[in-house]
Amino acid sequence: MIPDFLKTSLSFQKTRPLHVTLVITWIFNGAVGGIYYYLPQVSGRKLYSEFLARVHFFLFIATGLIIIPCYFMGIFGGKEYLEFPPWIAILMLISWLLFLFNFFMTIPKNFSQWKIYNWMWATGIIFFLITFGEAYLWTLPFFNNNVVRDTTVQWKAMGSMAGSWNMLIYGTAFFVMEKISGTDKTTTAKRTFFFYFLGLTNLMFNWGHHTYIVPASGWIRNVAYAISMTELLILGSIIYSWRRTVKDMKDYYQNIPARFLSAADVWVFLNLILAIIMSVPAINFYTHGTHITVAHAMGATIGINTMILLASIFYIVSKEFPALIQVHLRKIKIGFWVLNISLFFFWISLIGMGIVKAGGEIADKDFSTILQILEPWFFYFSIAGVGVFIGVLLLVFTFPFSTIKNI
Amino acid sequence: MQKTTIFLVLFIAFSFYSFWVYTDGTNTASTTMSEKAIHGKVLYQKYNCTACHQIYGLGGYLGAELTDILSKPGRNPEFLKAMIQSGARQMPQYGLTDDECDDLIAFIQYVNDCSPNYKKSR
Ligand code: HEC
Repeated sequence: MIPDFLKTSLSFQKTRPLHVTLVITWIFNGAVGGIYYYLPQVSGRKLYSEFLARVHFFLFIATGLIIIPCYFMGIFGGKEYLEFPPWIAILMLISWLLFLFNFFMTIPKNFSQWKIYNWMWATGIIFFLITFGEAYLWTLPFFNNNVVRDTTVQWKAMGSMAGSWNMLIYGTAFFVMEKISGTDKTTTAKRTFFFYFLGLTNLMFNWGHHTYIVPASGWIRNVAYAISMTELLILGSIIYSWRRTVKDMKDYYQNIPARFLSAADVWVFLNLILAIIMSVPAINFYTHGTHITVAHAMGATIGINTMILLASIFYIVSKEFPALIQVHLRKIKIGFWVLNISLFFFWISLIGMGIVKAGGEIADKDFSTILQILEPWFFYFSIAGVGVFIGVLLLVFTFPFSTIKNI
Repeated sequence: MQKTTIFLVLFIAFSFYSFWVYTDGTNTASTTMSEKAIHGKVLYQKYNCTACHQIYGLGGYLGAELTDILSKPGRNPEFLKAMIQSGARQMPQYGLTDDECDDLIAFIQYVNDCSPNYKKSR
């Protein structure tokens, strides 16, 4: 029923990178913007250079203004998640270097005093740079002309890159948590640092579960498998502190940022279970390359990251415009539930699709037959997707846009 | 100080591990890539086939996994060429030249040859 011209101008090979880019942009900006805002507070001094921050901002806008038309016109040339023509990466690299420079020039270098969020932000910033570079190794023939190497390195880069922005975002979560609770007990605790280093180890070595099906050396898989089992420790710790989480939820229920943080907790839990199941090689064999992988990505990007970023944004709003939260309280609460419930169904329908597809592959069904079986799932998926969208809109319309021009 | 040490140790381990992965760990491709296949890969990226198709599970899920497509029953280069040239349902018609098609297929063939046991060793 879709008109033909729309089909070609908005075909999937264009809209997929577009929406992926938009989601990543949101996560990235939410995290980076928050860090720029919190950094002076954390460091006890002004940002090293407002000017460079502005340059970063305008470079970012410019990059977006180049990439989006490229996608609409079908100009690609990159790889998955970074489909734009590779030269644009240079602009991004410059932006990031500016951010890195500004961050390290602002923050005091008394490492022993650093709280968890300083470590996480610094780690995220450094590792984004590394993994971004790694994601472009394919421009060298040594990597490009060997599909096993090329794919392995790409999975490696992307897996660790996701880990690096998780560092940025979880750091933000810890910062907001500290501010809400008014104590730095957690952000300086040994236990927190233990999990930070565990997370860092996972960032570095746990990308391998993506590559179980790539015919690279077996030890890559084994390392990944061993490391991914450490996720069980994280899971155990979450379950162990579950009662405290529930208590916190009750205590801080009226605090909007805290509520989003609690939702993020629940999503961490759900996604971790999925991740652990997915990293069992025998299961991974079937689920890889199905929508279960997408479910994992969506649960992480929308579920965990977006909840944390919304917590961060509502925290900033509540500092800068305290009255606003009260005015919009009802809308925020409804938006919160619409978003989370729709997202849950969205997530479940993706897992459903993955199971159906894996089942079809095991039964050696034709791809077009599998597509047919999937049809009703696409329907549930779309409905849930609309719900997610409405939830996001409800929340976004509470932001003080009218004041943005004053910033 | 202690935390900095742990960080540095992990970082060094990461560097060595990365180097290993770049070299020994991925020295396993059984075939070398021909010029045609290399050009096919450029086209694969240029037309963003990856939005819908996967290679080793990497890519979108609207279209089929292409890694071992040429080992599937009833598939051969001619079939693929017809499909790529004419498009089908959600598979767009790109209006590719004969040479472009051949190069794309050379690339798909190369990936296929690198993965004799793909998803079979279950
Ligand atoms: C918009 C999504 C999309 C894009 C982009 C796309 N394809 Fe496809 N492709 C499909 C779908 C869907 C099918 C299955 C069509 C069917 O079976 O009716 C398919 C089928 C194929 C097949 C046949 C698979 C088989 O079962 O034998 C080949 C080969 C193929 N595509 C190659 C390519 C190449 C090469 C490109 C890039 C130049 C490309 N495709 C871009 C969606 C896409």
